[in-house]
Amino acid sequence: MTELPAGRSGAGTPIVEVRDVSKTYAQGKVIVPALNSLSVTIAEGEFTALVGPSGSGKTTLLNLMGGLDLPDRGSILLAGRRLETLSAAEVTRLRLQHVGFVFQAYNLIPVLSAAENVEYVMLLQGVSRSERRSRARAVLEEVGLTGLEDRRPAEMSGGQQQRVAVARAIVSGPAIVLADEPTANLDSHTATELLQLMRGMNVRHGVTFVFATHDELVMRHAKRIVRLRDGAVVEDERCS
Amino acid sequence: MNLTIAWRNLWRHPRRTLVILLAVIVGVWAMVFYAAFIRGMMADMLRQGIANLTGHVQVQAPGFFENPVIDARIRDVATVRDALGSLLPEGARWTSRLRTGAVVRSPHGAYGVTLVGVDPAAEHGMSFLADSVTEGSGLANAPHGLLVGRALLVKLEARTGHRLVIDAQDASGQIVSRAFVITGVYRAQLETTEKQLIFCRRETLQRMLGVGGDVSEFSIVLPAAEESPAVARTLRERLPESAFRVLTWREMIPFVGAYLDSMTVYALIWNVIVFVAMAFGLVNSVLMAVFERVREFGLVRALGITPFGILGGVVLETACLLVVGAAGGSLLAAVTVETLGRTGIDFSAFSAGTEYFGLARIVYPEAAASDYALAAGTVFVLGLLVSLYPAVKAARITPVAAMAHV
Ligand SMILES: Nc1ncnc2c1ncn2[C@@H]1O[C@H](COP(=O)(O)OP(=O)(O)O)[C@@H](O)[C@H]1O
Ligand SMILES: [Mg+2]
Repeated sequence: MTELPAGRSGAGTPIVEVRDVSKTYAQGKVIVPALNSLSVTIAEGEFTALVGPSGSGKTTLLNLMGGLDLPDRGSILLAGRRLETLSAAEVTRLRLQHVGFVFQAYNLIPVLSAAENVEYVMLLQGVSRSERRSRARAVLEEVGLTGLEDRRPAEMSGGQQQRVAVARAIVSGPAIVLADEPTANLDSHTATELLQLMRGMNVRHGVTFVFATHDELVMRHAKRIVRLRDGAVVEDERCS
Repeated sequence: MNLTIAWRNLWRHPRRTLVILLAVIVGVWAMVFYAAFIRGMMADMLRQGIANLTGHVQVQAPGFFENPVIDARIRDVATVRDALGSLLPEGARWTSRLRTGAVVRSPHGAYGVTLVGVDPAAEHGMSFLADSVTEGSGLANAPHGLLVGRALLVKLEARTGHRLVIDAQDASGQIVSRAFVITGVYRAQLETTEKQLIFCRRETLQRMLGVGGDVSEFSIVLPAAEESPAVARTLRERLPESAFRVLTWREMIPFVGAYLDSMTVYALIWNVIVFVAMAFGLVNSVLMAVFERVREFGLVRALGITPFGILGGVVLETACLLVVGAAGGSLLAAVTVETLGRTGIDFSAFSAGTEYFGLARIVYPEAAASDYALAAGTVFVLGLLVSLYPAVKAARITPVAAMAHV
């Protein structure tokens, strides 16, 4: 089991630094270890896959990186702030300003159209109405959903819904987009398309992505693969 | 956009929303209608009370109100006339009456009554008397005519044209008897009135009792009941307390005033009762809406909304429901009150019961703007208050807990 020092992972500015983090869950009386003294650093502009079998701690790690949960031990730096030193309200604000999320499912607000779902985050950010409109339109065009702006999630395919989620995640230029198995519910063709879309954002706009997957096909698109097993990093490789 | 979201969320389960909306509508309707009904009943009670030979203000001799005997009469009639002539506001009317306890006899029985000597022409617009004569010609051209209530007539087994003998005590304390002819039959709102009051001409009674031009009371009807205290004050300044007593309707029929005053409190109590019945359904439906959207709340929390934002969303959703419900209920109430306010609600089938409480046979509900405001306000404020419970539950949902939720 090789544990790589955090600093070695990238040349760019670190966006997320996970240092010596442990996390356990209490399931009734049983303590379930999820992460075990894990360290990893994500640098600006990276396109990283978290890979590992089910239960290896991918989701837990992404949640901690995005400030959705707190570690038992260790420290997490996100966009220059130490999460463990912040109040819940400050973490929420940090998330709103700097983190984009794409989940496996239930990504969208069912009562809102595609465009409105994208606008929703900007509404929370306090972006003006007219700017929300034009930016939502533009980003939906970029993810190839022109013409579907007014569709509700239930009226779109799984792939289209995930595209909306990606559009929403990147619309305000976040420091990082965290995607937890974004393709798990898609067929391989659609999955590839979504990955290519994300990679395009990464290349064209320098958006930093971290996505969890256990799909070999998906991880082939990654520029860096961090392998997890039993809550620890077992391999950290860069691909060209 | 928040409003759009709230509104659309509200209609995700149209049937459930409609059911609870209906409950709110019926609740608000019940609140407004109750207030309107009570208000109508009160207004009628006041009208009846005023028309029941009370008037808005009366001038009497001291002691007459407590013990209405012939000795307690106004002897200086001219002073009162002068005062009324110069001090009453425009549109006010007045008349004077002489009252005494009496026994009326027919071949079928003898009954204790109050014999009231009136000026028939002056009673127009002053009391129920002028509009209530159902048979006969009344007192106009009959010096010894008698106006008898329908109910008493039945007990006496008499008809118009029959003679009746009346016994009363005159000014010197002697019992005097006079024969009268029934020249009219009147109906009153209340059967007790019909049994209690018998009318004759004032001069006839004055002569019978030997009191000259003296009277028991001056009754004044004002354009508006609200003017009573001010008018009474002016009259008190002019008429010396030693010889005159000025009373307002609130002093003469205090229970009507007390009812009117406590009406708002009753309405509020009723509103709260109705609301409590409604609140269970409301809280239940909001809770259901929260529990089936746990994942969504987790999602938007992950996206960066604050717990307070979640709370606000749930409350706003409830507010939408309550506004629509309050508007619907008010509208329904307005239609009902408007319709029944014109036709009236007939309680004559239960008249024996309602009379006992001194209530009207026909109630014309009338709603005031404050009735709508109170109902809508109760529902809105209390509704938002109870929706805080599910809203706080929603606000406590964390993204991680939501993801674990299936
Ligand atoms: N909410 C939870 N409660 C209890 N145990 C959990 C919870 N979430 C994750 N775990 C456990 O933590 C470990 C890591 O899970 P997770 O991070 O979801 O892994 P992955 O996403 O790679 O499948 C697993 O053993 C899992 O059972
Ligand atoms: Mg997972």
